[in-house]
Amino acid sequence: MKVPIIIDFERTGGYAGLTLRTTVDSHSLSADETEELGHLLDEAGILGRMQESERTEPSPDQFFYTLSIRLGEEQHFVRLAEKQIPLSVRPLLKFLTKRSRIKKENHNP
Amino acid sequence: MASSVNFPHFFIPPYIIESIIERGSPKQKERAHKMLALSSQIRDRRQSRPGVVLSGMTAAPGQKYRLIHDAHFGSDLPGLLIRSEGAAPTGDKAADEAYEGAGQTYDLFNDIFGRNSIDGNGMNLVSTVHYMQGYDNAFWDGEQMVYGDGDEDLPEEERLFNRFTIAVDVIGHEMTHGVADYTSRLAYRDQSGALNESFSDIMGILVKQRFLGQTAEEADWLIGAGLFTSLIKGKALRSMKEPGTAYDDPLIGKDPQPGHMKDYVKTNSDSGGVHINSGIPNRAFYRAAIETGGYAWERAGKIWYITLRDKLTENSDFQDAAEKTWQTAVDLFGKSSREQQAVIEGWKEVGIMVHTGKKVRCMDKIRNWFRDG
Repeated sequence: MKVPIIIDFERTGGYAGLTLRTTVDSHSLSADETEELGHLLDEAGILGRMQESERTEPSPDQFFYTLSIRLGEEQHFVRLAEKQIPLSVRPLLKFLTKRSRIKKENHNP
Repeated sequence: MASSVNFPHFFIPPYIIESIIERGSPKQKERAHKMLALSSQIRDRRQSRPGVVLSGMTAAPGQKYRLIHDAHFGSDLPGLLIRSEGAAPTGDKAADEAYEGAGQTYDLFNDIFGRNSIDGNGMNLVSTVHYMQGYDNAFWDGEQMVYGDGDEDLPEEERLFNRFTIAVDVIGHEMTHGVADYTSRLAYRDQSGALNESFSDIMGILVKQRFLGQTAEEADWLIGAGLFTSLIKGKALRSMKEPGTAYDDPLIGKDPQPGHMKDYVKTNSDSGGVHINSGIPNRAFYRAAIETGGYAWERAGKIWYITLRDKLTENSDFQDAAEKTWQTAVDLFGKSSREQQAVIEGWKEVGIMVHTGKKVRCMDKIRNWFRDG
């Protein structure tokens, strides 16, 4: 994946009820990180079926993930309930969650 | 939910695959991605199999049966069984806390409310600890309790959360979501969702107070005390006594919970703010417990539990909960009792008026007057 990637990531819900958010922009990533992100997006396979999880009935204390993904001119939006996240999407969410946790300023109520 | 035993081909745990993707060479990563795609297909097939039940055994009345599993920082549930009922402590803090907490919660429901386990029929108490890496959460998945270790994967100076089994009220909270599943089935959105959260906080705090032998006056009414590391300026995640005061920290902001209907938060986030607006019914319970005095589980707790079990429905809102808790108090303790008055006072404190029979009769008279001329 060679086009610029910008992902606005938000995680809500959970027992603590705290919101976690960050923006990952491939312009500020290393070449290796950009390649990894592109690979994770491809592997996740969510770009073609964005609206599928939007109406999922939530489960107690589980997380909700919201991703707004810009790939060059393309824009995609997805909302995923934790209980229905396919295994193939987990590495992408882990990558984004980890980046938002490491930057302390990304914790917002 | 089935265990991986049903699918002998899927023998490499996902946490190992995920670890390879994160740390392996390009070739190892490529292979791991293929394995991940395969395991995902298997998982989809597994989830579509009807009638496969997790740990179908049930215990005899009054006999709890706890099963503690270790997910080894992966996401496969329930994971490896590491402690079952009656076995010696494992030495793993999270596992032993999950075991003890499940026992204390079972005892509250059984000894005080006469309920035999989550389903009322001796269901096994299944828990999993060490769920995923850096997992700042705990949840009930419809069949079992699941606990993360907080920020164990970050350097110590970056950690905000400790392990989620550290507070016994978290364990009581998650098990009570299970009880709600088998009783009122309060829908997890908006006011019914905030009630679902509130009942879990209430039963969780009662487990903690009973374990500590505290009266309503003596208790701190803090939910999730000990979950934050010393990096966060806060006492806990929520305060039932004073919603909105549990934490105030430059990093995570201020506790957003309201304690009165005039401050009810309308939002689409978090299923309509279920973890925010639960502050309102939480405070109503706290006030009722203080009004009745003594141990909160003996009177206020019993009123709330029976209301959850017998009177609320999927779409109940705060007003409905107020009316039904009052009706339960009248049923249990009488129409002139201190307890029914405590329930009225509790809800009034958060801006919700209970419509007692007397007021209803007045309204009926007015309606009749207009109707009959």
